[in-house]
Amino acid sequence: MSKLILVVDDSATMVMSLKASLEMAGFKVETAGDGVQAMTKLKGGVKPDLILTDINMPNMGGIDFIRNARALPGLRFTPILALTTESQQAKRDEAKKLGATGWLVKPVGGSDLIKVIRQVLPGT
Amino acid sequence: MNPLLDQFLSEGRDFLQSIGERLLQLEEAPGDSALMNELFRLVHTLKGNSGLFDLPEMTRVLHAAEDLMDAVRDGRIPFDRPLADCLLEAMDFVATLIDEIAEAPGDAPPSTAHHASDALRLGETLRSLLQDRARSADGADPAEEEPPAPPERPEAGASDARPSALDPIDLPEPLRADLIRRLEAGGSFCWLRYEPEEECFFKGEDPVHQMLQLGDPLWCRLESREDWPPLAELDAYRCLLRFEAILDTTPERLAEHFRYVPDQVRFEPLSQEILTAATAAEGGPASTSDRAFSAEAEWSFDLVLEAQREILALSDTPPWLDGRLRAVAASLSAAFASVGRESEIEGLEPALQAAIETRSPTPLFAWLAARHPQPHAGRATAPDDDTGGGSDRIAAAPAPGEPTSISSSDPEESIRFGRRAEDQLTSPRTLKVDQVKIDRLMNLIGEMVVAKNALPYLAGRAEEVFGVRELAREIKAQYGVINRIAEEMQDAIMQVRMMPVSFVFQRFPRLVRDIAHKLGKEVRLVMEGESTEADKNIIEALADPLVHIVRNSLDHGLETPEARQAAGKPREGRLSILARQESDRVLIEIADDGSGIDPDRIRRKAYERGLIDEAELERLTDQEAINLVFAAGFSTAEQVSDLSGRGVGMDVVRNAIARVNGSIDLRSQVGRGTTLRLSLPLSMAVTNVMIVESAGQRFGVPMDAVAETVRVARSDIRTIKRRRTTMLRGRLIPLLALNDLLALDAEQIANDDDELAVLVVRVDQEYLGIVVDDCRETIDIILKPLAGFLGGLTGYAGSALLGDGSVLLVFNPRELI
Amino acid sequence: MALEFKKTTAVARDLLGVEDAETLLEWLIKHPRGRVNLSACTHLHASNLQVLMAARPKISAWPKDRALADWLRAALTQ
Repeated sequence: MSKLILVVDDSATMVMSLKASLEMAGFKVETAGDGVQAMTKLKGGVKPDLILTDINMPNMGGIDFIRNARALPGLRFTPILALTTESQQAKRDEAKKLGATGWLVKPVGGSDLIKVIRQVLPGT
Repeated sequence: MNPLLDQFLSEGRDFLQSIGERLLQLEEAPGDSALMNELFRLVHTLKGNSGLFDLPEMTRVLHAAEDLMDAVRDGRIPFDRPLADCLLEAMDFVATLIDEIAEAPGDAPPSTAHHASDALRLGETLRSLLQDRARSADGADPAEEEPPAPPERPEAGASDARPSALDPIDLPEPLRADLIRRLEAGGSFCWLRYEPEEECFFKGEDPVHQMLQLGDPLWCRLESREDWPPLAELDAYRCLLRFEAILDTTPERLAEHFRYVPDQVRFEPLSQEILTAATAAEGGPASTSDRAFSAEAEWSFDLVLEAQREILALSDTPPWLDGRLRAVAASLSAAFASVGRESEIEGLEPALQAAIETRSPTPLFAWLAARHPQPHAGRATAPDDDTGGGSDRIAAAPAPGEPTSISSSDPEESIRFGRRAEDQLTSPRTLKVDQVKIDRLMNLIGEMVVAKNALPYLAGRAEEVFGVRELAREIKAQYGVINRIAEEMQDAIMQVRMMPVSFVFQRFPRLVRDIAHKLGKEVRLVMEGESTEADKNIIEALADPLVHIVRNSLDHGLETPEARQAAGKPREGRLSILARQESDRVLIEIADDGSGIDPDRIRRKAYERGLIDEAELERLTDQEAINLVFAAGFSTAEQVSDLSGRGVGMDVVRNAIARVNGSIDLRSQVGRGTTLRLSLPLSMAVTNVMIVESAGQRFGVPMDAVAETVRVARSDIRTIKRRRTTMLRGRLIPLLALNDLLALDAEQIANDDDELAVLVVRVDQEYLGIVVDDCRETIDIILKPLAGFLGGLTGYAGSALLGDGSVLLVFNPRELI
Repeated sequence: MALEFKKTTAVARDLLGVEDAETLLEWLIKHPRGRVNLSACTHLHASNLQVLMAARPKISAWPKDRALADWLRAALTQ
């Protein structure tokens, strides 16, 4: 059973890179360009098994997105990993407090990405 | 090219463009925090993306730029022009790298190592800016101010030399003894306690999953931190678990594993001291045989015995069987001792001896069965390593084939997911389509128009050659239908090709800023109507002329602040670029409030350069004089500056605009400023041409250029100054014979009334008559520029295929005359 | 469905997810003597474990996965 992962990042390059890594590892991937788009997808019935979200995005950034997504009934328990850079310790802590499961530090290598996802997502 | 790299480059260019725009906007509004955040985000994202590739030079510069932006955003250093200059330079450097990478062949980005020194220099400049400013800003220690990008570090905890957190845990005695022995042998183990926070499930965590990934514990305990309420009141999602385990692992690995919840775990390496201290601590109560044993002690005891039973049940007879049997006996002995049943151990030694002698576990089995009947068939797995062979730990790990955490697929579930994913396949609103595909559509619709145009011919033939009028009418009716569809289709494709003028305009803020700085002028750029659209070809053709015009304005039009002040104008000059659509034309107006064009100076210059004679010098109106700047070889600048000079004058601009059927209009008032108005077609894909005949051939003339067609009696033609002319509605029109222009050796043919067909064209506000043999219908054609060696024939605008399959040459009146 | 309810036994299969905990809890409230069969269960989210720990039903079969079974036994048979 392949798990569905929602990738939220405003950079098409980053999305493409993550999507390729995830699909190679057998995951299904949905993508969104910012928090607003991601919320639209989630409200529209997309039910990911895990969400990967960037922090710095236009319209709705990752912090607000995590907060809003957690408030959706179907996403109370969904693992959410924040994509951060090494200098964003404060953002990581904030994300964690608001309901992120963990974080990844960009640039994310394919094998690291999969390793972390396996760590937080049972049955993978 | 590798699609990811391709994506990176194309997105990178967009980012650089936006970064440049934001920087300029910030110069206007340095306090705009939304703008600042946006700028930071762009730089930050671009840096993140560059990290996906091996581009150390690019990443280095972007990293430094990001840090600088971070400091600006936090208000640690002010945003000003030198800082903007520095960032712009950094972005130019990145743009250079992107261009270089884009041009390199192959899938992998090429090495940009030859830029290493530039990257180093830029990086240092940015960093020094950061440090100098930080220091001068508030005198703070720069080392403190610089964001030091703290390396990802496992949380402290493991290595802290704090007093042991290891509570006196009720380790079963055999395990304790075993651990001590294995520690002596150089093994390393960790004790771990993990108390997930109550809301942890609402953060997507699964503590059980976390624990399972740590491998088999040597000992474990799992209990609740509080008593469970009655079931009806239980909140399953308030996590109250406490995990404890002794694991064959290192503190480093645990720190890494629990990096997201460092405050919820405690762990420390197991030492002999801890183990023996724990023994001492509970030695008393454990040895009092009247003590009621805890359920756990009972359970552990059962587990140990069961494990021994399992070992005894092994059917192989390895060389170390003796050792194994002794180990079992030792474990049994310790187990019974730990629950206060030492007295029962007596018979154990003889049983062991018997077992060793017979090389069979049966005597020990019998001893065990007598004292502890097998409780249940289930398999318990208590720590059972006391079996001599150190390799047993490995054997205890799940075998590769064992279905540990690989979830067997549930077909129903997977179908659900599959459908779910497809259902939600929402298409993006905008598509990026390769230009080639649009061009192909264009060509196809072109062919469609041509094919469609064959129908009226066919109708004509049906009627004239085959005499079937009815059919001819039907064909015409059908033609009407196809014609309408083709037109709509053409329109739709045109729409796809439409691009906003912002594609050209977007470069101006930076261009104006840079040139104005260089010239020491102060300029406010105002742009409007950036979303006005026109065909891609038109927009692209507009780029160079517009840049040239803007440069001219900055260079020759707008004055220095001092000169402006002296003239009673504001120091800051104003340059506006406005675009708007008017019916089927796009109008672009470039206006400055500079010194304007002095007609007298133009007259003098034109005269000096031999462009006009003395008579014209007197006669030319001011407006006509001003228009002389469009004459070939005219340059108004007193000195050729490095910006707009070099002999490329307004004539080049005008010709470039004319090539896409555009026109240009120049107005200027001395001291007040100059306005250039460009008028361009929305689209150049379809051209309406009039077909004319001359010397037995058909030619096309763009209708844009045709003012009217008239028949002129030969008797009305006069020769003035060796030029044939005629009067048309009170206006003197010079006449030129098309055959002469095209160097065709034939006289123009008049009609039966001895009237000549004259095509009146307008070129630069002048009317001119071109004598042809006959004027025919007008048609829509897809004009294709002449290619190959024919491309040099500027007299022709291009060629088109007609409905009957013949080729029509379309001439360009301006160039022809 | 990861959870299937027979007359007196709840059978857990594959991955017992976090959302299943409420269902399991409800069933155990209604069936105080219900048993739980975990033999086909490959993983069980901690929330389900909490339900089992609070309800203490009889486990009619433990998971085949040894590591999981070890932890469950540690929690449920002490």
